[in-house]
Amino acid sequence: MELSKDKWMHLWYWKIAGAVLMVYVLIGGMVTPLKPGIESLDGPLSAKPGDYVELKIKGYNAHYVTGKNVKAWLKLDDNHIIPAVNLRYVAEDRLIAMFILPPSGRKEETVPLTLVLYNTMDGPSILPDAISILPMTDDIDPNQMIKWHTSYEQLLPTPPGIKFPYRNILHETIRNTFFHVALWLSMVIILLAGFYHAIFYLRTKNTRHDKLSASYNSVAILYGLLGLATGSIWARFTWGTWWTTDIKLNMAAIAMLIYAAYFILRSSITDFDKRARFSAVYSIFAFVALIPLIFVIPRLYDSLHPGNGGNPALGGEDLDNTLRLFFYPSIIGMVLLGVWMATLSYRYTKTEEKIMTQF
Amino acid sequence: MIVISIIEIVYSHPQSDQMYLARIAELVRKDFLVEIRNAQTISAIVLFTLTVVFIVYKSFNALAPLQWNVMLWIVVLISSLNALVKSFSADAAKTSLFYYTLYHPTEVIVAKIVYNFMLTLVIFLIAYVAFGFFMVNPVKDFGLFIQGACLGLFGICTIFSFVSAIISSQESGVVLLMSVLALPLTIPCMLLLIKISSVSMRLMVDSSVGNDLLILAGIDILLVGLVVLLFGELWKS
Repeated sequence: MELSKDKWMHLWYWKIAGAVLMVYVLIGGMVTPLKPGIESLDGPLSAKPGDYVELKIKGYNAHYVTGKNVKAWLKLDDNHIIPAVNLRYVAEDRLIAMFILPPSGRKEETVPLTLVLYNTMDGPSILPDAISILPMTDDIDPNQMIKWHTSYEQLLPTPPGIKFPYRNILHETIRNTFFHVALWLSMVIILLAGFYHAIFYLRTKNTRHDKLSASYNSVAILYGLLGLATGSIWARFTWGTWWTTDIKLNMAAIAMLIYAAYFILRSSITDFDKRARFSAVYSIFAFVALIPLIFVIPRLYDSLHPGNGGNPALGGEDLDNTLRLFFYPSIIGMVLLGVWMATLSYRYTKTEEKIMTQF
Repeated sequence: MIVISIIEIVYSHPQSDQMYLARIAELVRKDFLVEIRNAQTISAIVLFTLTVVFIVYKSFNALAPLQWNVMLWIVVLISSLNALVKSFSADAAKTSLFYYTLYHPTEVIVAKIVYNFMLTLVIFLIAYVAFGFFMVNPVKDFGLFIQGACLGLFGICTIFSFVSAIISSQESGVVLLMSVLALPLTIPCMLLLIKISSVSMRLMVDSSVGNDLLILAGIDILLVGLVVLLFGELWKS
């Protein structure tokens, strides 16, 4: 009975699949280059209508010299676009674009413009809020000034090839999506498996479920710790510190504390039956108590995490198809590897118990 | 499917007599009498609370409203942890067996939660009055403060009652194990509690405080439901 139920643990193909997926994600996720982007801009923050401005652009992965047909625009919206009057190439990734600003048409507000660059090698790259046009004053006659163009001169085709999107602040750390975010998602999935087995232990009183529940929970803790570690390293490079007061970060740490307490409870009870029952009860309680911790509380507070407070995140245009190409395989691969680890731990405890009961 | 299995856990219990509020009240009364007759426990808890309040007061001398708020809740949390840690192991093993034959586990745990909630409220009132006495009371919206306090403390005492039931079979290291198991679980309640009482002290402006109260009530209902479902499993030992 027991053997037939555990037969899938001895099969090899899903383990190979997990390992292959992870190798694919590791290599593909690390090697695939980022799309060209605008790293920084040196120029005035705002200018009056009719002013001549020079924007010194520093590109990332860009080819302003070798790329053909280099163009630059400032864009108010899709129908208000102004091309650069002149471009000067300083280096492969440096460009000076000169613009004469048209009137914004608004009397009171300062209007931010988006910088759009294009060349045949890189395709389009965009920097929002590049410069703002100050409000109109009465001495400006709109008719005597440069006019907006109503559309781009031509469509901007993206050159073929798989490249990850370029996002300011995130830069190369966008690859952490495949590791940090995927680790948390697979942790929740593996915790669900542990929760499921805890319930089934209480229903059937079969110690198989108890051992499996403990194994899944231990793998989930490992994933949680790795998630904290990858997040911490990521935070060092984007936020500047290893640890912040960010609510998601601290709730995750507390979740780890709760599950660490689960193992302390397990180790403190010597009676097998009692240990199985009490730890099953505690893990069900802990899992449900985790729901407000992970899914409710973080939504009540501001977070520095991408996706909160105007930061870029998953969903919408931020998780684009090239990221999905590695993100979903990463989750599947991590869950498979986690289940593999859990079954190893399960088989170890089962064998240990078998040997112990022989004497 | 999970829900069905949880329901089955409850109803598979050997005793599924009807519950009566009167029987629960009876158990609460019993707990109350045990506490009164053995007055050293309750007086020790009161003394503990007052001592900690005094330590806080003399360490800070003058507390800003934010610190007042946070320290009050930490003192209440620690004191009620100490008060509730023995809530199940106070009954001897034979007495437990006696209750097991007489009462449904749901009655036992509901009575325990009700009694523990009253005890926690007493501790809270003592700490609150002492904090107000030694240091200036910054609470502006008392109604909101009390609502938040009741909901938050109810959640906390549910968690404490449940964990003290889990560790009741332990011989040693009970307090340590209780802190390790229960304190991380109380964090959602504590955070919401501190947020709501901050609003009631006008430390922060939050128009959605009614939402926070609802979420706290939701967490309470979730916890009580879970404890009632799972307690039958613990009670068999």
